[in-house]
Amino acid sequence: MTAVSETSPAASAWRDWLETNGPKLLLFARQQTRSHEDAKDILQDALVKLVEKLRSGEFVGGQDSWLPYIYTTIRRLAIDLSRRDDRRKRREDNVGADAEQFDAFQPWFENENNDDETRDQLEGKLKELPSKFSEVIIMKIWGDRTFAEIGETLGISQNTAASRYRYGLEALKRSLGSARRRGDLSI
Amino acid sequence: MEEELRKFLAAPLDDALLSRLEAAADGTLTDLSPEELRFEERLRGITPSGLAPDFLASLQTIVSDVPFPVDDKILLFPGAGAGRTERKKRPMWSAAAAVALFGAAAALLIPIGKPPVEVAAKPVSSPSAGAGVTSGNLVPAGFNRGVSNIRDEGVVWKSNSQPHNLMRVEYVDRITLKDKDGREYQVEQPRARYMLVPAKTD
Repeated sequence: MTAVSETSPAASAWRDWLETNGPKLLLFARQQTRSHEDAKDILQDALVKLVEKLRSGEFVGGQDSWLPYIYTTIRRLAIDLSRRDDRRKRREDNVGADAEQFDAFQPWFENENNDDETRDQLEGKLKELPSKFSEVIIMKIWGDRTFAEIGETLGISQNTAASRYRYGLEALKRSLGSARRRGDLSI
Repeated sequence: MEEELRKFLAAPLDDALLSRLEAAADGTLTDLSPEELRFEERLRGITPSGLAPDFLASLQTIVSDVPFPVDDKILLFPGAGAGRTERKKRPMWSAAAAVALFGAAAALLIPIGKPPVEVAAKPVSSPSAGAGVTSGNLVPAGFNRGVSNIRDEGVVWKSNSQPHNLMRVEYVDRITLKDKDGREYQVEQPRARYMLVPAKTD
């Protein structure tokens, strides 16, 4: 399989596409789920759903419609998983401890400038934000989605998406403010 | 009682909500301020973590047999690499299957009790065949497949209203067989396949 991926033009194109878009999709999946592993599972399932639609010829639109479809699917799958997890959590008391420990080694953001503090602060503050704000921020800034596309994914109007973005950005700026004043952040 | 309740007035809208409603009304709610754009740019400078190599590989596996559309006109098929890999595997079983078919056909063609005849019927071209052969003493010596023609048969519409180009691909399988005396026989088997390729309409 690996040999095929290396030689086939389609496989190379897919690899480029995944390398470009995979990180932003995984970031969104991580914001939507409780653990890194859940996020990977959901991203994988969303890609499988896209591929099934492409194979059957049911997919409407070209390549530029793939990302909106995957964002929407990730969100839907995350909601389903969350419901299942809630039911399971009621049966198990110690859910999450191991996952949290593991996730500490799987940061949301790259560490190109060895600026751990900025990366960790940003991840922490995004997690503290209400989900309805952070999901819009992540899709807009790191997913390069427009407010119209975000609205479509979330089932809200683009004005509501813009309002949530603005509130979220302001809240994020405030919460990062103290660290910035201390000079801990490079943003 | 009603009169008493009416004395309580609804809280007035705060300035932030008022400006938001105004912006929504005049269609500028989605326009970001220069300050917001600057902060957005700074955040964008911190990039999401890349995919781990094993995870990337597992995602690649999912899409390994899916064509990749470059644009409206160009569709990359995974066949270039995958096809080569498959072709490497194919000759062995394909040749074996062809021999089995050939043997069955030969058994039907050769009358019982009569001297063996040369198996060089229409689909068989046997330049060096002289003596008779039977299915039992032939062994595969080579296999070759060549595409002879590709023809666009037009556009068909599937039930989901998506147009597809119907492509007819004609090719010939050439199987080389050897008998126990080393004489070679070639069997040619023309084939045709129809493929549906998603088409774009403007």
